Amino acid sequence: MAKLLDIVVRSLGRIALAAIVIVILAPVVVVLLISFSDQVRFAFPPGGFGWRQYQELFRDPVWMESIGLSLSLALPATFLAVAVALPVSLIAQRSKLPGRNLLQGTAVASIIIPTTALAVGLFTLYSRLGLTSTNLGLIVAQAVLALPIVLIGITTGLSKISRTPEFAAMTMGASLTRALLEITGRALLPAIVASAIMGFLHAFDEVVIVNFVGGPGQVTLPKAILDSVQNQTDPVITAAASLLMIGSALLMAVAAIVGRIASRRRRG
Amino acid sequence: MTNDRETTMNDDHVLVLDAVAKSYAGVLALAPTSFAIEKGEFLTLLGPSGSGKSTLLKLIAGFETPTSGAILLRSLDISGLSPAQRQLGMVFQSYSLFPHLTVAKNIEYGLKRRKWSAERRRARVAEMLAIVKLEHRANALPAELSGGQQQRVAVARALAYDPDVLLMDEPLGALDRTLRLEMESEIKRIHGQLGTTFIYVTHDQQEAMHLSTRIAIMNNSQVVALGRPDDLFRNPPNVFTAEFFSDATTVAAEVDDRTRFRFEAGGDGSWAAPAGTAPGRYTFGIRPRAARLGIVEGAPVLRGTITSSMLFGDEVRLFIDADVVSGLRVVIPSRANTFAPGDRVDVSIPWEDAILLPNAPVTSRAFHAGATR
Amino acid sequence: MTDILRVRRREWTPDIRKRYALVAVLPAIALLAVFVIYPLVLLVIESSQDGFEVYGRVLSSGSGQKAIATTFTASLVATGIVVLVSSIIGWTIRTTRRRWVRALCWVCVLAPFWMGAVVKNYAIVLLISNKGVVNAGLRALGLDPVQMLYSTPAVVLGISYSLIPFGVLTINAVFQTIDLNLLRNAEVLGSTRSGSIFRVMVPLAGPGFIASGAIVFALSVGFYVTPVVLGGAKSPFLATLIQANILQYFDLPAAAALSVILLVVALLVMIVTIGLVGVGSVRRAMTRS
Repeated sequence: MAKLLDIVVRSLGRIALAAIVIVILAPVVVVLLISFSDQVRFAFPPGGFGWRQYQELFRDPVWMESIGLSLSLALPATFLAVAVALPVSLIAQRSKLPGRNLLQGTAVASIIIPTTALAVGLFTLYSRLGLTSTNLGLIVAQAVLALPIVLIGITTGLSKISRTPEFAAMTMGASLTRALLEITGRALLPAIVASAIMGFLHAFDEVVIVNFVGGPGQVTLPKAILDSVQNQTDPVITAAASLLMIGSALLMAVAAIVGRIASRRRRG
Repeated sequence: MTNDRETTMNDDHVLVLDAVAKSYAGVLALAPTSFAIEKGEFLTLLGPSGSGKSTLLKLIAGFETPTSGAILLRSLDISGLSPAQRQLGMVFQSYSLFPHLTVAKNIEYGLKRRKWSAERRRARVAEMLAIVKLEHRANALPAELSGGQQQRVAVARALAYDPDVLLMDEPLGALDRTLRLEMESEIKRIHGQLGTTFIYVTHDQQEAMHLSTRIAIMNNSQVVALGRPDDLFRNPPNVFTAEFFSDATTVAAEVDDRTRFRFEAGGDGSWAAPAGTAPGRYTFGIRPRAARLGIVEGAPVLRGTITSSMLFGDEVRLFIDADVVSGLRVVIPSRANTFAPGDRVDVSIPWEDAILLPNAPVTSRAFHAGATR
Repeated sequence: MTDILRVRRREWTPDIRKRYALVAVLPAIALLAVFVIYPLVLLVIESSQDGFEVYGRVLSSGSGQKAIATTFTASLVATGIVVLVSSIIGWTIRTTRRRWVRALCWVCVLAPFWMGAVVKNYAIVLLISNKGVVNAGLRALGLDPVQMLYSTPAVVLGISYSLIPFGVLTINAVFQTIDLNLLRNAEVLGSTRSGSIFRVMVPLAGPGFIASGAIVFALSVGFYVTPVVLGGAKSPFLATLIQANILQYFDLPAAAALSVILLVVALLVMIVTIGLVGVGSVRRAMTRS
C-alpha cells in the first residue's frame, strides 16, 4: 500500500515537472518563433518565416531611439549603483563604523519595497524637485532599484574573500588602503563586474518608474514594448524582445563565467 | 627610563616583550608577558587553542595593540605602529598568496613597497626562489602550485626583504602529515641558512621540539614555561608543561619530615626521596619512556594491570590501570613486549627520569613572567 | 636602559578609520534617505493631509475594497504556486542524477530572468490572448476559444511566472543545506521516499520556505506591469487603481494612500516573518538569490 502510494507520488511529480517545464519555456519559444515570422500582424501559427521583424525593428528610428535612451539611462545608473554599493559593502566588513550593518541591511531590504509604492513616492518627490521627465531623475531612480541587487552581489563576493592576503600585504609594507585596493579590490573585481551586469539588467528592464515619472519623450525600450503591448500586438515587438532576451542571456553568462573564474582562483 | 623594567635590554636582543598584556572589553586575552629574543633564535609559542599564543603573535605582528606594556624591536617601541611600519615578515596558516600574481611577483611585493630598484628586485627574487627551491615555478600562479609549494612561496615572500623577525602562524596546519615533516626540515634549513630570528606558533609539541631553539609554553592566556626544548621536556617547571609538553601522567604525592616519598592515594610503600627534597605535597610526573617495567632499586613503584596495548613499530605503548592512577602510559621497545592485557605489572620510575613538582604557585627559574594579576 | 626609544602609542587597527568610513558611505546614506525613505515619507504626508479622510474614502469605496481584496488574494495564490513549483524544480535540481534534467531545470530558472519584466508579460499575452497560441490550438482541435487574457487568473499566472526564478534560487539554497543522507537513512529505516521527504524535509526546510514565501508575497503585491498588461487597465488591482488615480483622475492623495497600504502590508509581512523564523532565515533568503 505504502509502496503503491510512493509510485503514485513519484509519477505525479514527474508529470508535474514536465508540465512546469513546458509552461515556463512556452513563452520563450513563442517569442523567438514569432520574431522570425514574416507577417504584418500577429497570427498564430505564423504563415511564413523571414527576417521581416528584425528589418522593421532596425528601420524604425523610434525603436532605435528607445534602445539608445535605455542604454544612456541604465549605464550611468549602474555606475552610480556600484559606486554607492561598493563603499557600503567594504565599510560593513572592514570598519567598525557604528550603524554599518544597519545601513547595509536597509539598502538590501529596500528590495522588498513595492515598486508601485516607490514609483508614486518618487513621482511626488520629483514633482516638487522638478525632476519629472528628466534623464537625471530616471538615472537616480534606476540606480536606487539596482542598488540592492549590486550590493548583494558585492557583499557576497567580499565575504568569500579571505582577509589574510590583505594582512600579508600589510606585513610586507602595504598600507591598509593599498592592501584593500591592490589585493582585496583585485580579488573582488569579478564580483563587482558580475554584480554590475545584474544591476545593469535590472536598471535596463525597469519600466514602472519610467511610466510614472518619465516624460512623453522618455520612451525606453521596455516602455516602448509596454506601450505597444497595451495598444496592439505588433509582431516587431517580438524582434525587440528576442534581442533583449538574447542580450540578457549573454550578459548573465558573462557574469556567471567571471564569477566562476574568481572562485577557481580562490580555491587554488 | 624608569626602573620597573622587568627585562633588561641587551645588544643581542632583537625583540623584547615588556609586560605586554591584552584584554578585550575587560576579558584577559594575554596576561602581562615579558621575555627577550636574541638574534637568530627559533622561538616557538606552543599551547592549546585559546591559550593566547595567537594573540601574542598578533600583538607582535601589529594586528592588535597591547592594552599595556611595550614591544621593543631593536630598542624601538613598536607597539603603536601598524604592521607595515614594523618591518616584520609573516607567514600565515592559509597560504595567503596573492592569487592574481605569479610566484615571482608575490616574492617581489615587499621589495616594491620598499622601493628597491628593478635590478635589485630581480636579483633578490632569483635568490629567494633558489633558497626555497622553486626556480622552475617563478611564473606560475599560486593556484597552479601544491600546498607545500605555496607555503614555500609564502616563506620566500616574507623573507625577501630581510625582516628582523619572521613570524609564522601555524604555517603547517593546512598540510598533510608527510608534507608537514618535509616542510619542517625545509623551514629548519632556511632558518639555518639565513640566520633570521623566527617566532613560530603551533599547537603541535612534536613540531615545536623538532624546530625550536627555545619554546614558550602557553596556557590560560599566559606563558607558563620558557626554555630549551630538551630542558623543558626533561624538567618541566609545572604540571601543565609536564602533561602537555612532556606527555607525562601525573600523580599526587607527598614527602614527609624524614624525606620519605609516598603516593597520596596509598599504594604499597614509601621510598627515600632525593637528597635535599623539602617536606610537603608534590605532583609526581611519569613520562611514558621514563617508566620501567619491573623493580628498579630505590625507585618509586606503582602496581597495576595492563588494560590495552598499541603498536608503534619499534615501540609498544601500554595502557596500565595502576593502584594510584589509572590510564598510565608506558612505552617500551617492541621486542621487550612479553605482556598481554590483563597482566599484573610493576612500574618503576628511576629518580633521574622522574618529574617531581612541589605543589606551589607557578614560578620558574627558567623565565620571568610578569604574571602577577 | 636609556637607549630605549618610546614611540607615542596610538591605537592601530586593521580597520578603515571611522571618519573615512563615514565619508565613504555618505553617498549611500544620501541616496537612500532622499530617494527611498523620503519618497515613502512623502506618501504618508501626501495621503494624510486631511487627517485620515483619504484612507476612509479609499477603503470605503467599492473599487478600493475590490482592489485590495483582489491584489492580496492574487498575491497569496501566486505565492503558493511559486513555492510549490520552485520546490519541485529545486528538489529535482538537488536530487536528480541525470545531467540533462538538471540543465533543463536551470534553463527554466533562467529563462524568465532573460526576458525581463515587460517581455515576459508580452509573451504571456501572445500565449493566452483570444488570437493567441492556446486559443489557436483549441480552434484547431475544433473547440471554442476561451477568454483568458484580462482576468485575475492571468495576473496570477504572470506573477508566478515572474517570481519562480527567485523562488527556485532561495529554495535551492535551503535544499543545499539539507544532508541527503538523512533522507537515505530514513528510507533505510523503512520509510518510503515520498514519506521521508515529508517527515524529514519539511521540519528542516520550514523556516527557509516561510522566509522565501514571505519575500515572494511582498514582491508580488508590488507588481505593476503584470496587472496592467495581463489584467487590463481596468482590472481590480491596486497597481492599476494607483495608475488610474495618478494618470487619469489626478488624485495624488488617493494614489499615495493606496501606496502606503501596499507598503505597510509588505513591511508587516516581513516583520511577522522575521518574528516567526528569525532575521537570519530572511537574510539568507534575500541574499542567496
